[in-house]
Amino acid sequence: MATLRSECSLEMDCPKEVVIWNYYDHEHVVGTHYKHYNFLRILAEKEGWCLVERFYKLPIIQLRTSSLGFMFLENPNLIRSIQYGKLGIIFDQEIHLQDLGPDRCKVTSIYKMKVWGIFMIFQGLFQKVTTKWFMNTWDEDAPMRIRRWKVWKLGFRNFEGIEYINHRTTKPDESARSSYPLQLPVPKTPERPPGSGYRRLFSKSVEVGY
Amino acid sequence: MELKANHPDTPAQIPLSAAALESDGFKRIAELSELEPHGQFSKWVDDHDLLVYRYEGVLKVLSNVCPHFGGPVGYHKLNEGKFVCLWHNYEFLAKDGSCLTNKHLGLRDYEVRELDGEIWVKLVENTSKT
Repeated sequence: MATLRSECSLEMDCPKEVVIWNYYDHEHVVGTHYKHYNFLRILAEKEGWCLVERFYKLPIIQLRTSSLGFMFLENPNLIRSIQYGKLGIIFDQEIHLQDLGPDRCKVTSIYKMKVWGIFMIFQGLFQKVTTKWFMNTWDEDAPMRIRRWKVWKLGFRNFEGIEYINHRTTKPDESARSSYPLQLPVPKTPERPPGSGYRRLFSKSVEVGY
Repeated sequence: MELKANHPDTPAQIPLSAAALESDGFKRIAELSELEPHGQFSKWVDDHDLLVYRYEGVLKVLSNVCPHFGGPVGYHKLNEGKFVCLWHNYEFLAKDGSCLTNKHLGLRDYEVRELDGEIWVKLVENTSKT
């Protein structure tokens, strides 16, 4: 057996805990990433691990497929995601997180796939597809993470909002928050009906933007 | 000078001026032309993310911060009278900011005025600090 491998790395203007929140916020794949994912189902989840089935379309080859993914937090700086796809292919992803200061971190994603030696001819295509996937989802996740960090520092509370906005009062002079407390699993919107999963509302939209 | 009151509680015959709006706590936030081409836009002003749009001909402003997890409510263009937050598809009525996904949530509305092609919004209504 041989291993197809690729590595992508970028820096973020937020703490790594916000990046972890983003990875464990399963619902957002059919929202933020509505162009790629059409459905997901959380089969099991507890604290730092989850088992999720996702349906999506791969870039470049434009293949619509699905995979069963097990994700866990191996340590505060490493998320492991192992996906079992069609044809028995196992896709192994390591997400390495490195603090670069209070408002900055580095995210390195390593993709691996074990194949028969003859399939190493696909190394170039594997690298292209995974890099494109990383960049496409990064372009959608980065503003989400930055915004989440921004509203958090302004005093945002989940399922409530920002107090000075809701109460129509003056904004407090200084922010009381300088760190992001990681809460896993991430609170979710109840599925309606239970067990039905999360589906995107549309595949196309006129985007006004952030 | 174009005089126009956009708030339903403000009689149309009361003249508006920039000085009067400022003294009443309004702040100039944008020009009407920024509504083009989508009929809506969002903008951060003094740490308020404002969603500005026309609904049935009336200029309205809601908070653009989704009370679920803070996502941008006005990311997608208004469709069939609803805004859909980008991050998790929470739906809000453009009529009044009420949430269809979770009835306990909703978007705060802001008082708005139009004056000489400019949009004025009252960010603070209760001057006591939280």
